Amino acid sequence: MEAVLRVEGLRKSYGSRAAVDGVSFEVRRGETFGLLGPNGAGKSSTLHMLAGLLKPDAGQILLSEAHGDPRKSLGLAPQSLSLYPDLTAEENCRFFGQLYGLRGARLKSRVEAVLELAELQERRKDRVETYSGGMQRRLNLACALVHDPPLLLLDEPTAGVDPQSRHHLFVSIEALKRQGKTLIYTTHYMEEAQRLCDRVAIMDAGKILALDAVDRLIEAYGGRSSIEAELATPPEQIEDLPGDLQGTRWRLLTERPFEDLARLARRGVAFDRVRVERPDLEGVFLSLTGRKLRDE
Amino acid sequence: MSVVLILALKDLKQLIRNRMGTFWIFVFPVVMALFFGAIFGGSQSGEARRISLAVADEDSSEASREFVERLRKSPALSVETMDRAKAHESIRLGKRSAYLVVPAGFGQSASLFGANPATVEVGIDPTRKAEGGYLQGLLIQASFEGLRDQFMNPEKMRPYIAKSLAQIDASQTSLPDSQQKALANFLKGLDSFLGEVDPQAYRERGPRLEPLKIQMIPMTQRLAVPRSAYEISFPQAMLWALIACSTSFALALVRERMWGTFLRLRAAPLSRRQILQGKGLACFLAAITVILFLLTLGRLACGVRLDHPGLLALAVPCSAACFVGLMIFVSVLGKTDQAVSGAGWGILMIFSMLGGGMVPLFVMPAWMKTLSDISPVKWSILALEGAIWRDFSLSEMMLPCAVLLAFGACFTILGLLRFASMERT
Repeated sequence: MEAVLRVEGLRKSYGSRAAVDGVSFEVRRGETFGLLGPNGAGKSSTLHMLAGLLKPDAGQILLSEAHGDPRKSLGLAPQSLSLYPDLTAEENCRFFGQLYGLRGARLKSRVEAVLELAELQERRKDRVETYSGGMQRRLNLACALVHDPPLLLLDEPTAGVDPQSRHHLFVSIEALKRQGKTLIYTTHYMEEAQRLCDRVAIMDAGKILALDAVDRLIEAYGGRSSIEAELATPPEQIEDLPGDLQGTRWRLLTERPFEDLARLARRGVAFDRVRVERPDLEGVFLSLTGRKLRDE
Repeated sequence: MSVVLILALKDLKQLIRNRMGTFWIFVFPVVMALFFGAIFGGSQSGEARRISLAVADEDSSEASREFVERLRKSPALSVETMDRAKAHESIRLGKRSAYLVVPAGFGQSASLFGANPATVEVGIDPTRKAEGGYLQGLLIQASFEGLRDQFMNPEKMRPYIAKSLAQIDASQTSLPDSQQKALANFLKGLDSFLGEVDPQAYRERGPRLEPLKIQMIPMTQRLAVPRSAYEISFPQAMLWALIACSTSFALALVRERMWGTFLRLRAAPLSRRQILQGKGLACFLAAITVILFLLTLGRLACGVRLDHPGLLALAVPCSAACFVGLMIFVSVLGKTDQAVSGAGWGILMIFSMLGGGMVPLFVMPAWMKTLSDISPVKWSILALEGAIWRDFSLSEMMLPCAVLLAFGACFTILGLLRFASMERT
């Protein structure tokens, strides 16, 4: 797949502290690329350099020429809500659309489209200061989309929102994926990265520790799955049962949990209750850094 | 529409929706102009400039009534008749500046060569003693006008001559005998003369009995002085409006950073210069609008002169440009709106105090007038007053305008340097 963005050896320091330390990656057209890491990992600094808000100390950022004017090709939804609270949702969208050169019917249709995506049509004439946090987050995303950029930079777009609004944002982002937008998504929530991202770069202390598709990262660094089961078959009738057995409670760490369960079932082992825990990106991060993603 | 104009229109829309901002920019200066204009005398030809005089006429003679009537006709006095007790009370309560009692017997004493001159009683508010001498002059003037009327009217004059002759005959004067006799001869001759003249012709063509004719020149037409206190209070109010504009838009710029919208603006295809130009244009347009609004109000409601529109067309944009520079400078004095608001108002208050925004420059001591040169407020007031009442020539207007533009440029450069430094961190 064609790369729309290539980042090579990006560095940024604040005083003696390296916020971004030699980061390199490329983003392919139409994919959702995640930057996953704890707070302070360098995700937002990387994103700000991509958006032209920060000047890198070193390295380069290459945007595909097919996108023309680099800033017009980018849409940024900053981590902090970046809206005018004394303007309405429609006025915010119109204003940001105008800054990108939209006028007349095109501006009107784009404002309609993004307000619909954010499900804010009914409140479009209300001032943003009267919105809930979740609605403001949705509008924050809508304003990044109003000029219809092919590449979207979403900096922790679900920070501080309730589960319902978070779900709504996920639905909106999935709709954008279906439209073929290329997304760069920073988060410190591994569930979000796992659900939304095609590939993930795991960052810590300004460096990329690993970068691949989610499944491959888990396979490579996530460790084994765990099976916990309550056996229906009396344990004495089972031969060579792997794992730990205490009474009827059985526990096993395995690379292939479902294959192992199927094999045991074929041997006549019956289960009252089975719980399989697959490794996730949290495990990947733990494996790579020895720390949890959200220790702080 | 250029992006700078789009940015400016957005800021103006936000300003209109900000009730406090609108109040400080549009309402507060109007209140200031009207309040200080009124308490410093409003229109100088108005009632407030007259001495208010309570008059108790206890004589009620023809002479006393004529005397009071002459006082009433004086443009320098506002006369109201009442009894003695009420006249006293009105001074005590501060309702009037002075009282005058015309005692019983005033008419009897009012003769040209009487032994006892007519006496009146005057009391003045202790806080307005400066007006006492002025009032005495007005009373003597009214009294002298009475004597002149007598002298110019033989029918009125002759009874007084007869009365004076009777007093001389009765030896009621303090003159030596020889002088009494000479005076009696003079009066008899005068009486004889007045008896022979045609009263009508004498009144029209006789001696004027006016030792000094004073021609009052309307100074406002010859010298550059304010015609009313409003011509001082309105330029001051314009400065308050400019200060409020600067502070409001400086805060708007800080809020862009606080709200994160500045990030979005920087991510958009705009230069930093365009973003600041948008904010500056909004501030400039708001400043021009409020000054034009105050000029219109001043003209229509308070008679402020707008005789030099060309000079105003120089003074107003130069003042606005200076305060746009000040706005950019103030916006980088802190990172939060509280910090900028505090620092901004602090600096602008000092400029205002030094520059005559609070107390007019002409009442300041000399050293403070010199110090006021460092305040853009002084130059802005000077430019506006130059166009309103100081009758500046174009070359005289150039100095304050050039100073204002220089101040604006310096503040802008300082602000941009600090802004760039804040961006880097």
